[in-house]
Amino acid sequence: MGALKGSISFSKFYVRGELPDGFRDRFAERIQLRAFRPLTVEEDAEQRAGWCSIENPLDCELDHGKIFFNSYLNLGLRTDRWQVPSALFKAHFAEAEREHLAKRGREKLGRREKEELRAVVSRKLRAQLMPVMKVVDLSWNLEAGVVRFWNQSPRAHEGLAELFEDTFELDLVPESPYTAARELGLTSEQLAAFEVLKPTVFHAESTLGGAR
Amino acid sequence: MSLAELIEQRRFVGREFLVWLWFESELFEGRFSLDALGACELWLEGQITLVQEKEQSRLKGAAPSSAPEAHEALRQGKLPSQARVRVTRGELEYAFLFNADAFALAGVKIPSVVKDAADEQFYERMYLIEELETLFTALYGEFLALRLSAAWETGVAPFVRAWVRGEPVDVAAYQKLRGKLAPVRGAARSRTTPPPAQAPERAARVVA
Repeated sequence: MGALKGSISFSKFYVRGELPDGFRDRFAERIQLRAFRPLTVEEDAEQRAGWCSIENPLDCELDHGKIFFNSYLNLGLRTDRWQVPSALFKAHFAEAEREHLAKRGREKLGRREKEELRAVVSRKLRAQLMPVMKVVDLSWNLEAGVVRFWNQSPRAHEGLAELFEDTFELDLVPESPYTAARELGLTSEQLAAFEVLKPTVFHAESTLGGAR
Repeated sequence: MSLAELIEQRRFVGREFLVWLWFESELFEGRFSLDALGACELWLEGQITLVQEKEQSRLKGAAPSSAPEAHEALRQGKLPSQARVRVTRGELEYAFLFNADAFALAGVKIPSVVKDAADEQFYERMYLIEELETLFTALYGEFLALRLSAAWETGVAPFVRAWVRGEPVDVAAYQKLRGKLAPVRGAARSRTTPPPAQAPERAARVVA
């Protein structure tokens, strides 16, 4: 599912702050600096997130033509994560532990040795696996100041807010009954009334309103 | 109160909006007349979830909001937290799941996209999504005009309460009251994506 095709489920955000002068060049440069970089077996990182092309998650060389669609800025937020199945890891770790202890004629591993062995086993298994890739589309209507993000999980929103604010130096405000009302252009009296609203009790007994 | 607190503590307004949509769609047989956008039709269908603290009633079916169980849940004090909504305006027909607390749309069915190229499909999809948002926001503006008026508690809410109790509602008196309250001023703000036929050409891509 996403901005270009598939089912349509998204979260909406309002961008707070002004677009800087020459923002297209500036944004393109900052996006490229935060473009997705693949995980490697040698490094310790468990996961990594970065921008990719909305049309091809494997394309992380991002220029103007891949980012700007007229008044929209479109990107994919790609997150790769090593996901070694727990049973597989346990089995390989137990085997490595046995070999290690047998070689040294000992019965138990020290804490530090255990950690080092875990890292060795992880690297060995990662070399045989591919990281799990997740891509979420983002479409920013630059004129309206509205971002649509094709994922509704709060955890994904946290990752988006972090990378978006780091890349564009602008804040995201999530859609909600309050923010939707504010965007409607309430008068100051209406806004003040909204801010002190109390819930209505609809199931209360009343003698008014019904047809007599 | 901070923005984050206002967002969290006013989520109940989304549920009240959904109650009002439900109430008006039953009262006027799905017909809504929007001050700025003209007529549209809206009804709840497919599924509705009503909640009160930790208690939840999830109803599914062709028209679950018309089921006695749904009205009984309202009478018990539960409010709809999400519902599947179908809305039509002119030739455009949409269906979506509305999450009232987040004010979010999910599983949106838009009118068929006719363009072939990926770029054109994108503009057409965004145009249709923004059309839907404009329409739905206008409905929210109509609701807020009532909800934020001094007449809400003593004038409007009693009609909704009568409907919740299953009593007949004085439609003419309700319409008269509605007519006195103008929608909030930005309810018909225009979207920014032009219709597909007017969409400008996208700038040529830079070949890497």
